[in-house]
Amino acid sequence: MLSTDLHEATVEFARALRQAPAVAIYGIAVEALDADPVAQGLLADLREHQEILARTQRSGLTPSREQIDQLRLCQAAARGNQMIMAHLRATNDVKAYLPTVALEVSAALGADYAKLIAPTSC
Amino acid sequence: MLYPAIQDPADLAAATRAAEAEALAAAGTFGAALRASPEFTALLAADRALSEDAEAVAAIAAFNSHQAELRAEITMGTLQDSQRAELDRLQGAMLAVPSVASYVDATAAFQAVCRETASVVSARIGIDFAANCRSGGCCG
Repeated sequence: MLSTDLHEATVEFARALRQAPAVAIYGIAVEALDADPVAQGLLADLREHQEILARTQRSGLTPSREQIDQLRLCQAAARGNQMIMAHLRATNDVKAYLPTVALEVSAALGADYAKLIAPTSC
Repeated sequence: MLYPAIQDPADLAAATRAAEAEALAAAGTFGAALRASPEFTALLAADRALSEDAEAVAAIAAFNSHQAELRAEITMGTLQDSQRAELDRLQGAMLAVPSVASYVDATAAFQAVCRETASVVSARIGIDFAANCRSGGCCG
């Protein structure tokens, strides 16, 4: 349970972070992708073909030429979709941006904040 | 008059810089608030006590030294039972020193606070903050 002061500082930090361009653009890209049935269909196709290939490999078989071609077609279709690519760019940008913010937290804290909050597996 | 959404590129660039500067300033304020938390104060005190405790320093050095000697075996997963037992014994001895145990507890308590703040941030920004705070992913 966070103290009131720390909770307020955290919420204020999150508010400012949400308005930072990389985070704001990421939020817009997520909403746009969620609302685009064409992009959702392409991603579902891609996931389905990836799963077919993974299942084939897990069962010890070599994927057929047709299966590989199908997956490549799905990948090409996804790469050709503006909404998907905008989401991908926004994701890459926000993933590059957040570590710079964490460094600022660490500098003020005097300890490695990113390391302290890293998932347990790390 | 221009449609409000059509902004001067210079204004847009200035607004972008201002938002980034505000986020960095808020990050600094947030870091300072974490530093002022009782859990961090306790961690600093535990760290100080640990560094001034000769028994703790010796126990940590013994464990670290033995772990370093067995690094290759640990990495390759070829540790023998006797080597594992000695490592466990040294680790147990280290953790049994009261100042080491206090330091471990203080670290865990502060880590829990930090993780709770990260959860609050993640929920508000819509992306897993903890998993994306390090360059190259959480293990980077």
